[in-house]
Amino acid sequence: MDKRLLTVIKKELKRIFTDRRLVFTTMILPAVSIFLMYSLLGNMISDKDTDVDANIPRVVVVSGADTFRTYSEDMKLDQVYDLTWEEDTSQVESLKDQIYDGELDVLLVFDKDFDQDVKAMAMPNLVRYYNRVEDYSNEARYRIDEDLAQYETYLLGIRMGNPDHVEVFQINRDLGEGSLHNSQKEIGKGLSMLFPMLIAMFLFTGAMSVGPDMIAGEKERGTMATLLVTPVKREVLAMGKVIALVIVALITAGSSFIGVMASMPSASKMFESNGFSMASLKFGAREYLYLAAIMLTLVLLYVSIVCLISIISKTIKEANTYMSPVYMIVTISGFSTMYMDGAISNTRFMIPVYGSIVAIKKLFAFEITSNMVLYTCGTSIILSGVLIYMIKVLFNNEKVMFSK
Amino acid sequence: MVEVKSITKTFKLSKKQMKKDQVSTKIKEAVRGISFQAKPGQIFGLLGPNGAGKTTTLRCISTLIKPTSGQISVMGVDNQVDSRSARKRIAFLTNELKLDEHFTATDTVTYFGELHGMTRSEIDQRREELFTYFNMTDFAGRKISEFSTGMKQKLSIAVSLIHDPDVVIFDEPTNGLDIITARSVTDYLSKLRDEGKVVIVSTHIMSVASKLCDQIGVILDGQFVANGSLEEILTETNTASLEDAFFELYSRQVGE
Repeated sequence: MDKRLLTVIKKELKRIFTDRRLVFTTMILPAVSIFLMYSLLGNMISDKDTDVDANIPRVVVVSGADTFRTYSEDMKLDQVYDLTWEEDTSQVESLKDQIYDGELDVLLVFDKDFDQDVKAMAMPNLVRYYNRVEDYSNEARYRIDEDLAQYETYLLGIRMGNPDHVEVFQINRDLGEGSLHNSQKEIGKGLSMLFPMLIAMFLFTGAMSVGPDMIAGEKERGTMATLLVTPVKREVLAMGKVIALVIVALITAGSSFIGVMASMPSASKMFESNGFSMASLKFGAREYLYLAAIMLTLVLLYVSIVCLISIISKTIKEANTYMSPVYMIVTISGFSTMYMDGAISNTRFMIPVYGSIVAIKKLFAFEITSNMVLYTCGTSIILSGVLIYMIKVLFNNEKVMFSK
Repeated sequence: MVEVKSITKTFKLSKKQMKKDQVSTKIKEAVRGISFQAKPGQIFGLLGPNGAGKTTTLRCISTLIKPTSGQISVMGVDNQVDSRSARKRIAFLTNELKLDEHFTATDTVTYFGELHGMTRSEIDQRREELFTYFNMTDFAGRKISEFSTGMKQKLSIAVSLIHDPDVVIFDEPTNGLDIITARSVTDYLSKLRDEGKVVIVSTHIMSVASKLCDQIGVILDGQFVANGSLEEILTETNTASLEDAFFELYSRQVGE
């Protein structure tokens, strides 16, 4: 390696690693923020679910049919609901108001002659009110609907004279869920919703946080002119800055990744319904190799973009202004892949940034192929090469380097 | 010696710049046919108002930008043919330089020394010389953020001269400095002249030009309107001071 290239890289890294504030804000703070954010989010969601599950819903039954009273006693519904029986139908409107205000969870209003109509096969009506905005009410609705379905089966049993004759067939008797699936893939799919987007954003944030100072900062301070009067080739100066930025971006991404991993025990509670468990996730050498290749080439692309923006900017402030829309594109690319599923054409992997995020998603879902890696890494490398060539050209462009 | 032969430098203006400068042509001639020789043991001064073309001329000599036409030779090297060899012999300092305040004085000087390909012992020796001259030894390990404006300017000079170049180019060396720091800078320029260096400075301050420079090129609107010693310029303009001479030359130019 060119000795002067090493000098430039060392200087840039020293600039960052000897600045405690910069190290804290670019390398420690993202990891801590992510850890706190996801731990908090996981725990909050878990606490909320526990609280909703533990709640005894308040249910008022107006004009309750005798058969429902009997069913309720047999099934001991008063132990799972805070049941109130109301015969005065004029109270319905005020009870609806209570639902609206979140003071009551479910209101059941039976038709006046419900049992007689059932007997006469006249299809009576049972109105169920709830408030979908209130978590307690929403959950109570699901529970009461299940019980009403059971109640309907109970009535059918009475109608047919024998409750055993109601059930015609069973699904998965003694089998359980009956899902034939790859657990690895299930876990990976859970991860692939969030992680590709986070990785893509962390990598860009790492490059974005220090990139503008490396080039636009030198222009702003006037040190660029002093640098360019040294006998060092301009491409060596440019490459030194690019390589230093790649190192910093990778360290920042690594730090953020540690934050994500550390938050997993708490954050995984968000995915509990999907059977998520970090312990069951086992990547092989192939997956790690692919992930490293995709991340490295994506970092190279990001750094090239950041350096190019930094070169055309006269000041750090201007560079940060230009950086914002690019960050938006990265974020949108990440979000757009969150709910993506099924087969994806190879051409999508050739879309810069987006293709890499999709490839990481496929990797987590254990659906990645060598062709996908080839397309996305190839695209990133080719585009980075073009951008680095442009950086080299712009380093020699006096209008760009010395414009005021 | 630095020999500048008939250099011109044109810039393409953007629409925004055309509107700002209130001109109708897209091409701006920043420098037109400038020629001069700056010899070892002499200080050559480029005197002119802001926007006259001084900085552009100095940047052309320093290889930061290329002249549109003309030739520049730095110690016998054509600076467009072999710019790296030319740069090894050049120090370029602008008063706009603001060194990264996070580093110490030693870090900064060492970094630029390494970029000039100097060995560690060469850097240490040269740094010691420069820091001693500028009374900076006690500040060597301190961060630049702790420095006064004067100290920062002295350090900028040390950074530019770490490789002990033959040609020293200073763009507005005393601009914005307090009187004491400005004096130490001009004293140092005189010292460099006495050491046989080629010194080229730009300034719009008449007193600096008349006291410091052995040769003066008066530049107005991108071209020389006078070039010679102070005495020669005063004789040619039939005036008693450089300031009067400048305004005489300016009147002639405007009159044209």
